[in-house]
Amino acid sequence: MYFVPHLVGIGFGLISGLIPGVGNFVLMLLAWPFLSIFGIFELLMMYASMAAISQYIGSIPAIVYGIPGESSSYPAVAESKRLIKQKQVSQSISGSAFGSAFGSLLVVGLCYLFVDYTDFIKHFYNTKILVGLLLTVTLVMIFTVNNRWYTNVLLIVSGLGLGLIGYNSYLNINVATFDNTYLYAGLPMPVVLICLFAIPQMMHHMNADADKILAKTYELSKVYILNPLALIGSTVIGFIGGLIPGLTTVFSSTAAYNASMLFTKDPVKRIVVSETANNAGAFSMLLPLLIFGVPLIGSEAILLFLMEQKGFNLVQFQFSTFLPELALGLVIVNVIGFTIAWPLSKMVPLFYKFNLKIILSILIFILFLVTLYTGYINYSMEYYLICFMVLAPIGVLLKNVDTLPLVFAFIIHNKLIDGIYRLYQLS
Amino acid sequence: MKTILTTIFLLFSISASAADLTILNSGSKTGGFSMQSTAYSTDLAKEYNIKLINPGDRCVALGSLLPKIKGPVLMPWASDYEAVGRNGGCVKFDINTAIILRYDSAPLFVCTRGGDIRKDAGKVGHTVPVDGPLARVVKEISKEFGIEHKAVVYDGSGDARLALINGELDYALLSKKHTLVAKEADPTIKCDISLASGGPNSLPAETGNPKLAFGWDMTWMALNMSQAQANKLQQVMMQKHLDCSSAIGSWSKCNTVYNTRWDLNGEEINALWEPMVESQR
Repeated sequence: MYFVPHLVGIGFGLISGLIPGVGNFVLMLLAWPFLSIFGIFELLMMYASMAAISQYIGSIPAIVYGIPGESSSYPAVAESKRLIKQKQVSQSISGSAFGSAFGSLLVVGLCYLFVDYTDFIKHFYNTKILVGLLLTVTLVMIFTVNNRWYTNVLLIVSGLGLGLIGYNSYLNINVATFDNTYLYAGLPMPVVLICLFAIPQMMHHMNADADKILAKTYELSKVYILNPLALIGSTVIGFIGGLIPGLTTVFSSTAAYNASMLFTKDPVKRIVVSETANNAGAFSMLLPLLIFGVPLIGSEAILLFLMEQKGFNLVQFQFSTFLPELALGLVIVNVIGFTIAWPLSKMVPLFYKFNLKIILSILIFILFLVTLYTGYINYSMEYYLICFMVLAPIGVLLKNVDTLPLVFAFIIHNKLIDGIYRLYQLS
Repeated sequence: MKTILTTIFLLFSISASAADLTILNSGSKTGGFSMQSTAYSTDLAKEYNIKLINPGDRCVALGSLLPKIKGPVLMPWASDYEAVGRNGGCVKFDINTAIILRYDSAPLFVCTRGGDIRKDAGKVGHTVPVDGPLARVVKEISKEFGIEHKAVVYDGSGDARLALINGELDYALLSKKHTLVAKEADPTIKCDISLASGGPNSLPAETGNPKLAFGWDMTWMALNMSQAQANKLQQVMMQKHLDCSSAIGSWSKCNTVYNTRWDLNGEEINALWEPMVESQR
């Protein structure tokens, strides 16, 4: 049943999860002509599979090498440098796989049980709630991220400042564009995230003492399972985060990660919590699309269009009618995701057999190539290259700083500023 | 083996003989222009070697990319983009330098949760920018009917639609495509009043106030093409629009979401375009 769409979705999810900068939007755009052979349900299954699997797989390079394969894996990257034993790495991978399956299936199960009430999520799309959530997570970050509080404030202000560069269509103003057509589009997000987050984290890993990283004993056969309360809590946070337009799973994982910082210092638990949340968000982000016809991110807009081409409309295709099939499909996909991700925890010793410095140097070079590639597919290769040249040295200087507040502020700046202005209009 | 080689040769020959066409989206990655550009890239693939360029930003599309493309280009452009450009925005485009293949007009509609925008004051949602022409339309409606509406700006029509559905807004100004989805999502929403300059339930016609007229005019233009090349492309596009099962036919709900015209001459186009752009500045 829906074998081919699942298979395509899983394949796309693997690519999207493993390669930084190649997200679901790019893949959907590249595969557009081929996707038109699918019907409505097949497209939906393919997309749901892709979204779920990319979350499972994205955590693995994040945990092992500190590379954010998928954009919601940033909390895992931030914590990965605190994993000092192979056992912890292994636990993080297996725990994330289990947490991801738990988060996804709990959300799918609850949607199935409360399908008649899913319409209530419309009340979530209230500017006060959205701004409140964004501000809460930002403020919590000031006191929880592993820097001094004033450093975190400075990083958040810097992130907002970098985000402001460009033409703001909401306020109809230009900030630091200097009449340059590339700057009107703002700083490219993949380059900022690679240079100011991935590179500092990887440089930090590189400086770590390899002997300390390699523990002599480890236990790899068990699946690490977080306590049920933490799993349920992160699923709830992930579900809510997945509903936020433009941020979805990134917000899910970051918000859950911040919440976990209030309760635990264990990096394994923090990683599992954030990875559980982003899988819960990977399903909830579909709800506004399927219930109200509102896509929250670019890849969903493409999905909606493809589905509309096949005759999708909200009157004829009510969420409650296709949820059972979707739920069943997601159960299958999550079982597959778990069985792909969990065994990788057993391969942790293999990952560390190689010289970490060489591996990380190669990976930084690959990130440079990824920058060029994303620049190429966005038709702005020279601009991406210049941005990389300017920002990468700054990233190297920040190698001992946790730059998560900076990139988070950079990602949310539009939503936060627009939302605050809208609150003023609504008051 | 011979058959395989012949097939490969034939496929290569067909591919090589088709003309090149670059479709350059000047809109955002999630908006109507993006979806239509992608639809055309599917529909026209049999007749042309299509290269779809979708930077998702008009400043980059027109400012950086268009000057570098030497071959034939199909590109959309909208009156509100031009208005912002003429007001000092990053790019503007003189449509007289291109061959207009398709001209669309899309009047706005007032969607309501039950109130009457002529009598009941409320929060009116519209799309960006905050100080743009739609904000001025809301002010004009308030002035015309002597009531105090609050204009509230949203990043896109989808957000405004959702805010109307969840009750954050009392009214939303939406294009026809969005009114259809809003009514599907919540049957209690009504979008009967239009801001078209004439026709049934037209607010400007009812009040005699032309400042209440609002819509978007959009063009699909042929660039770097001879008249013969442009004519051929237009014919193919028209065929695809007539086919409701094509990608573009499906997106446009069988050509019902816009008022599309294919046969306007330069003078007629300017007579529609210029007043629309100037009214939106």
